Amino acid sequence: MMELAKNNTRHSKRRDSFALPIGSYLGTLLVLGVLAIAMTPVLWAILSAFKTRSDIFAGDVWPRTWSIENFRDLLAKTLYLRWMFNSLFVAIISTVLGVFFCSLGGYAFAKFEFPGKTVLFWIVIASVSIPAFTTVIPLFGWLARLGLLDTYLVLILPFAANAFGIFLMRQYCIGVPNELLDAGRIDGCGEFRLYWAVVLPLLRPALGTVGILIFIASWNSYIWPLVMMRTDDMLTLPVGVASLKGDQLPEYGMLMAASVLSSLPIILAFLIMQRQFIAGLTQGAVK
Amino acid sequence: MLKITRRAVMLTVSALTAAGVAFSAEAKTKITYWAWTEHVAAANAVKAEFEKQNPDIEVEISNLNPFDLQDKFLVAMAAGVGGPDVALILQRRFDAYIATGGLLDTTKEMAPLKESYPPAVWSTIAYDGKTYGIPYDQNPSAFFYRADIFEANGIKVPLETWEDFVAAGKVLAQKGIFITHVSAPSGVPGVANLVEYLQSRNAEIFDGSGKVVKNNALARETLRFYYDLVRTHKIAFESRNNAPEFFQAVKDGRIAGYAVPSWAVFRLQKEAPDQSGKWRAMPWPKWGKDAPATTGAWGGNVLAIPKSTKNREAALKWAMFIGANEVTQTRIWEEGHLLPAFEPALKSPVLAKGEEYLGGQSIYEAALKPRTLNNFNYYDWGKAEVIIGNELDLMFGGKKSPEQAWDDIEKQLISQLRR
Amino acid sequence: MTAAIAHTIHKAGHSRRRLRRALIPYLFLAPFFLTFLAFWLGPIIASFVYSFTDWRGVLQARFIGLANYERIYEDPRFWLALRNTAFYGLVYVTLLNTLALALALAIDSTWLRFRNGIKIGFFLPVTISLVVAAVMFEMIFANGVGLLNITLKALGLPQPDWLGDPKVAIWSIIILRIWRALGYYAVIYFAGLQAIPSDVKEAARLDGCRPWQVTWHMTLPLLKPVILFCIIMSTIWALELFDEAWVLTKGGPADSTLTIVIYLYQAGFQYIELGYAAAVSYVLTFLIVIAAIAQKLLIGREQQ
Repeated sequence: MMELAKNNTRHSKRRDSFALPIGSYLGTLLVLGVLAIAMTPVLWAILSAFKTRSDIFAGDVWPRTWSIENFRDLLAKTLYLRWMFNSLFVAIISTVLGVFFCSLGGYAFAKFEFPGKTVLFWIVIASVSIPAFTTVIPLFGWLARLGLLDTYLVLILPFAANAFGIFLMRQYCIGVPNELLDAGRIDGCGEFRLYWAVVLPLLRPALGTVGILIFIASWNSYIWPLVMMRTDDMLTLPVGVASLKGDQLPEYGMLMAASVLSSLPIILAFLIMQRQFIAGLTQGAVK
Repeated sequence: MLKITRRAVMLTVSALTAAGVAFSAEAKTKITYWAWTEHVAAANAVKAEFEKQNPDIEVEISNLNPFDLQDKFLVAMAAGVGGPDVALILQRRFDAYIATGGLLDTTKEMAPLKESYPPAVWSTIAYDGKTYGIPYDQNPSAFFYRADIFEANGIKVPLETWEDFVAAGKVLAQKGIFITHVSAPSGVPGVANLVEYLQSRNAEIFDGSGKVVKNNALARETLRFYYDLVRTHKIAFESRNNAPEFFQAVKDGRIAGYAVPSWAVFRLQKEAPDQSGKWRAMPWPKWGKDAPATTGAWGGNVLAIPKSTKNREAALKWAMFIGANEVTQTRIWEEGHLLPAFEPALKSPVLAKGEEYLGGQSIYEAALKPRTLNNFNYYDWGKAEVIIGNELDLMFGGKKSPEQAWDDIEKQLISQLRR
Repeated sequence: MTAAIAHTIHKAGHSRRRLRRALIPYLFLAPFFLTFLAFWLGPIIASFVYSFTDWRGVLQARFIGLANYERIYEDPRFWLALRNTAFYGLVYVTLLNTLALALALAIDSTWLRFRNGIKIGFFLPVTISLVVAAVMFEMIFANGVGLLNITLKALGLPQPDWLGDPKVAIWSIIILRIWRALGYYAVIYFAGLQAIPSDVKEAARLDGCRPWQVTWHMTLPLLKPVILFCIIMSTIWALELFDEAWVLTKGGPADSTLTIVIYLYQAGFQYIELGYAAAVSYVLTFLIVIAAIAQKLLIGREQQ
């Protein structure tokens, strides 16, 4: 696939010089070829989700008999829908809270001068490089003593304080024109109102970016919910699905069915938010 | 300084939560039990009975991925708070949990029951003259085989010794059929496979006081045998433990035997349901004509109670109810062919019941009862497993002879574990 | 007198307002920082303290000075883990960023059809949970019967034991990791490309530059901040590699896929040497910070 870059330019050159559609088709074909390789495991998972247990290992591409048994088992024998709800719920709330916290903080870092600013900022940046494992054991003790285990709160808050998110927000806020803020202040606008009514609307694309980062971090998190949640009802999707892997033999079919179902909402979220996500990265990261 | 911080946090927190605790004190004692799949099924089956006998206790059973469960339990032990009241723990990890000092001492409760457990099982909970937790199951190995393939190739059963076994394997190998499986490459997951052989031969790695056995000729010989199964005689299918290619080979009829504990029969049942009635079980082969009729184990679990439990009495009651009770212990056989640790349960007719998958044979009667489970001492097993797994990989990778690999294992165990 | 009182009140009001103004940035930072303090900074500091103790759980921890750090230095397995991680990181970061950038250039180009479908297709693996991905790749990498080896066999190519051969296993992990991350980074690069005003490229083209020259001399230099960002992010993730290696190989065979975080996990979660594990995580953090600064210096300086 490293040739891709070369081919890419070669084809576009041809298109530019001769305006031949053939270059466009060849280039597309090449990218589609690579995509096909990348998609094979996904397609295999989707097809396997419709296979019966004895077919899964048989080595056929297509299911011998199309069966929805795996989906039925998943919904009937596990708390799948509950896990899905938990995962979506905490991811959405973390995202909303996270973009709020990060934009507010990022704005302060970008547009205010105050003692301790540099130190605080570097503390946040350096924390990105600490392996999350390190925090788990001390935190568990504290949270357990506070009686906070097994609550949505512990699944939400750590993701809302996303160090990387506040960094991106700061980068973006630097670009907000100072004249605009001064004009607001002269009009007697309170500082929070200024943030809420003037800055936040300008930040919209960045909100999408940080939002997707936080959403994915929460959605894919594993060790954290694993350790902090104690009852089956409170598990998130990745942890719940992992319990299907069992001791000795995975429930292959159900795992695949779970993967198909659990990818749907996040793909939907990507479709809805991608424009903002891309726009946000565009203006946030390049600065 | 550490101590002060911890105490300060605890004080603040206990003040904060005091109201909540006082509020719930009136209610039923609710205890949590962590286990996985077949053990959850067994626990669910006896839960109603337990709650009938103990109307003041309510049991909540959580189903977790077994490896995840170990990690979760560890974090709770390390933090000294937030754990379950009872958890099912992999036996090979148990010594590490004892070392944290976070497990409940069960010496008083268990001492009178010592005679009810086989010595090999008892030793897993005994540590420095005390006992921790309660035994749950034993996992003596048997040998499952395809009766139809054996018959078609004129192999007489039972295979009395490993010598007979190798001879039979060579007959099958000519047809491209493997008589058994060996975990190669091994890594940590494959170490338990080797232990099965070591234990069945009484080739202990650690002596009773926890010292590494030096110049361990028996272990060295056993490793050579293990290696020969795969590389010299070429009669064992080699793959990572539980790898898909192994089950594919089972389905294709290229696997005629499986040297595993009784619970592993469910893998065959699940992956090769169409081979029902073709499989049989026989006892673990002996290490010589006059050698003792012994076997080893693969796996095994122990019931652990964290010291930090707020419901000590209720937790003990529940743990004893599943670990030291014939009815419940019989249930774990029914749910997952796990051989009860509690000996009175072995007399249950349930264990003698025939299995359709094995052509009406009872695994217990045919393969387990004729063998005694040897003892095997586990010390610092987490580290030991990594050392052994790596050496096995080097050996299977052709970098070392089995003898050399064993010498290096011994050397590293001594230097790194300081035992 | 009334005037004096009025003046005082006014002054008090004034200084209160001044105080409030001075407090505003702190108030704005408070929601983030309180949460950050509780869930990140607090435990990070606590484990820094633990890294000087022999903490093994509920037993009382003893202060042992730098002994944990000395032990790290003396353990050949740590150095092996470091070497593996560095090798893995180098290959992964290079391959991933090259591929993601190439893909983003293709998606950004004018000649590509089915742009949206392709974008979503590459993003799909990002959404698949690790456990499921691990099971899928176990089947794909399976020796002899896996999808990959069946395909290689059909093509008449050699079929390595993807997870069983110590020389190959790390590549299998790199493949899985790139598969999972490619779409994510391609989207970030694509966003960067979208930010480059099209008139810049157009002008260059009108000046007679060939498309590859436009890409090489105009697009890539303008993209440098994004490239730097992606390289630093992917390096951090590479140095903290755990999930993929743990689920596929548990660090084996023969420690060939042992990474620093697996080493850390074994120390903490399996040997229950929590103080030692904390020390390992601080060594790792130190290395990550060094790597990030080095990259920033290398790529960042060129930029100016």
